[in-house]
Amino acid sequence: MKVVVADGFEFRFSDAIDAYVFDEKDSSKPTFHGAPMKGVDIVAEFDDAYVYIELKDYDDPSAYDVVKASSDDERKARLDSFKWLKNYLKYKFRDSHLYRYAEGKVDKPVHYVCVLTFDNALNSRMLNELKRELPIGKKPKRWTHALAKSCQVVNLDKWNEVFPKWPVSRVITAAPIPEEAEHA
Amino acid sequence: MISKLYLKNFIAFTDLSIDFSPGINIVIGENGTGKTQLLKAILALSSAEAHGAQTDEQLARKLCRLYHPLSGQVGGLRRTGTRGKSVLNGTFASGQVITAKFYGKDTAAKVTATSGDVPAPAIFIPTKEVLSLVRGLTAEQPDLPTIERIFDDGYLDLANQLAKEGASDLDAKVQLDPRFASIVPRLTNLIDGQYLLENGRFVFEAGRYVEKDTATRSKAQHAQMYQDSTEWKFVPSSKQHLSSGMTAEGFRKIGVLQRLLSNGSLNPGTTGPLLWDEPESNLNPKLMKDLVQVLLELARNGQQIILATHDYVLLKWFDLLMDKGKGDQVRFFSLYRDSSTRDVKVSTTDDYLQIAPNPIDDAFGYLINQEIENDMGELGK
Repeated sequence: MKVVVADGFEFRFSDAIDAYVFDEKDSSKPTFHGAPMKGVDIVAEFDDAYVYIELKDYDDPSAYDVVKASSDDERKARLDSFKWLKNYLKYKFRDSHLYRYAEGKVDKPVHYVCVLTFDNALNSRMLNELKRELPIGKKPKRWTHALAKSCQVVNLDKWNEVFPKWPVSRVITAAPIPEEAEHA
Repeated sequence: MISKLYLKNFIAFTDLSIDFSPGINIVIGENGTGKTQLLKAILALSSAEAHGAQTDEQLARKLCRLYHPLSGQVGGLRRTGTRGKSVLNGTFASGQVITAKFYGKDTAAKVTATSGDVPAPAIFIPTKEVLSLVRGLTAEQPDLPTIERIFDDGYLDLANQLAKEGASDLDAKVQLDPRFASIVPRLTNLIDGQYLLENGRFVFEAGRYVEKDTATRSKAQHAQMYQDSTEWKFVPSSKQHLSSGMTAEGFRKIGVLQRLLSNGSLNPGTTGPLLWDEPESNLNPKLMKDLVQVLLELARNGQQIILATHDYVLLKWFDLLMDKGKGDQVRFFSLYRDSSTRDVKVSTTDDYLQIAPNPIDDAFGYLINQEIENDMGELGK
């Protein structure tokens, strides 16, 4: 069992070989990130895969719902927010993958899972947009292999439904990271 | 306006109580959870047949015409497998409470009404469009038995309301009543035209509402304009009218609303609830935003609206366009079957994100499940 706390959420990976906060900012920790690059919140390693996890917890998901904006100004603001979030998720993956390449840790299939506090409908839309822009699950002719196997966008309920071996829950208060959450 | 509905041992419902908002009410639920049945129960309880003389027989017949029970008797609407009589009970804002009760073998219902003003009848818009059927349904010598075998009373009631003569000069109404000025031009421009009743049938006149040319306005009119709202005028784009059957079915559904407003059948503030079953059917999703704006505007003018829907876009537009500052009240109802008893239950919320269960969003969730199963196999399971 590997337990990781990141951005107010606790993940319990029952079958992980390793799991830790990937963009660790504490230089005293062995998993300190330390590169001028973006990083996903968590990386977990399993027998046959690596999983990158990026979390975004929003109070007002409708700020990203471009299709349903009621005025041109609102549409533009939401479009900007949605684009910003999509780009944010896109570059997080790219930088993290590059970092992992330099670590020599891209030897297993990689899955990128974004956990957003949106409803399923809006998450589906974000997934479609991300898939259009991330070379995940496909490769140009000149490549010998794809960068990553899949990309997913889920909310907390969906995560717990589809990944019962990796339950996630909100951490009630912003307490210090418990000992067990540290990288073993 | 209906404030509360109670249904017991009635068709899909074992014991269900719903408190409605005076504004917009949106009912969701999987097929078979009784959304349409619920709307029809409101239609029946607020109909003329539930008031006045011989209500026991009249309302029983009305229920049979609405639900077409196999036995042909009102008793056939009693929920099988339950004990006791069927009860339909409506509490109206007028103060009146109407109750209808019957047993499984009854041919009439026992109808009681408390004192209080008789509630205004509801308007029911069924899933299929009715505009093009009006000519056949309201013919001078209709073959009623045949018509009633094909169409339930929801269709016939609406056809009669559409065929009603009234102040059909929509242009004048738009100028005189600011409520219509914000609604009718929007509806008309949504479908680039309007439906008119000519010789017992509906025809489509292409055109748009435009703001009146300022040059043609007097100074006094200008002053008035600044005080009030924009002045609108319908400008036809063709002299030729089209048969309604030649226009898109989604347009005809908008046309129904147009006609009900123009002939006074739908008069916000005085009409009973507007019941609309799946407004989204046959409607281009792009038209949905304007439709929702029109419905919100109707509600702001005192029209209670109760919708049943399966559509995410419709649901979400209400969530995004409602303006509590303008007094908008949107209440969501989710009908679902209890996992152990299989009885239909309802959960109610005024917050879109709190709708649970939400089969509409679940449908998107199933797509995500399949993506993950395809891409990640047994990982995490």
